[in-house]
Amino acid sequence: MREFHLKIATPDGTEYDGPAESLLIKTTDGDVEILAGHTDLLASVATGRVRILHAGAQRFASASGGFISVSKEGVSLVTTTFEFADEIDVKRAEAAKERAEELLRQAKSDAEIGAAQAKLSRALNRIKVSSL
Amino acid sequence: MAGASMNDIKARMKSVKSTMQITKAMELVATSKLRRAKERAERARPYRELLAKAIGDVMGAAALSDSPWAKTESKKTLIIAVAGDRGLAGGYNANVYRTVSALPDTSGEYAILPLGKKSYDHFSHRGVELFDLGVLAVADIGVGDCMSLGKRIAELLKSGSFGRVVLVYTEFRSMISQIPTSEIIFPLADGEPTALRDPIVAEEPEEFLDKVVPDYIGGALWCAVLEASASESGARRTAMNAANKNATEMIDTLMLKYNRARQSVITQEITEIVSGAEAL
Repeated sequence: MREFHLKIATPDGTEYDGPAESLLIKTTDGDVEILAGHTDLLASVATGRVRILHAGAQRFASASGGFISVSKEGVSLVTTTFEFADEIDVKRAEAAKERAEELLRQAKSDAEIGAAQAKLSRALNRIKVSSL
Repeated sequence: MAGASMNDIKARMKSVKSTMQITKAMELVATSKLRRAKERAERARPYRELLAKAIGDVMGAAALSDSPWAKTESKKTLIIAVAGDRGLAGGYNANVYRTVSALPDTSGEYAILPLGKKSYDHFSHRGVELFDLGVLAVADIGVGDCMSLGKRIAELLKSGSFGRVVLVYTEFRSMISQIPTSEIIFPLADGEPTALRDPIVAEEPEEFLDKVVPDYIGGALWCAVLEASASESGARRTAMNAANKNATEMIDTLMLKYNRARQSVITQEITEIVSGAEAL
């Protein structure tokens, strides 16, 4: 399969910088799969799982926030969090889930509920991806 | 008389020595903090670059002329001043304040959002308008805080409370060089032609920007915080290193003085004894 250059950067470092055959990612508008030669695209990244195909192997990861830009030069994914499935600390994710649930119970304003729900969905996403 | 001055010198030496103990400990702490902070700042740099490039792509591509994000009616500037939590770091904090007051925006309408305890102390006593979130210690700010702050600032920009955002922080160049910089993070730069050609934007441009701009501001803020905390440790290490050198020098000079004083006391005593013996 044809390859394209994929670069994934997060505040904690560059997570991926190399060739890939396919990138499946959840955008705020739904799942998008990017293959080589894809039309130029801009989309914002939703909390969800990411799948990268390269050399016949697939890797799963969780991502949330930020955006993706696809051009002739390659694909740039600039995201707030990005963790490969095998790097996810499940215990921490479970703890984060419990904290988020607690926050949700105590939340009063809409903003607080929104923030707690976002936290909860990030934690759940990490737990789900870690088992892939 | 000589005895008294000897005691004075001794007391002075003791005080310099105990100061040196503190500065030495501070240097060690700064060095170990610096190593971690430097790594974190350097790891975030590719993200910062890609973020700026991608936002350039966004601004170059999306049809934004009617979006509230492109129109900046408000002339008011939000200056985010990232300084340290503590002093004793040479000119680190003062350089940030100086950079802020040298900004052309300070001649117009502006408000300051101070990050760092020292920054808060400084600007809350200057009679300038504060975007007051209380004292925010740089050491306690996490990536999540920056993201929610980004969201809040983005809302204010959209509602027209502010038209510009300038970020002032200290860029970490190397262990010995930290440079105070100011960066305009809003209005978004749109000058450069981008690699994108008529991209598909998954959503309405405005909706897309509503999601992207808060992430961009939050990301820029977080990178500035990382750079600033590395710079603070770097500046403190340099300052404490200089303090140690000075203290060592002072102790040497005092030691010499002390020995001279001691010697002259002995010489005087001998002279007294000899002349006393002769008189007998």
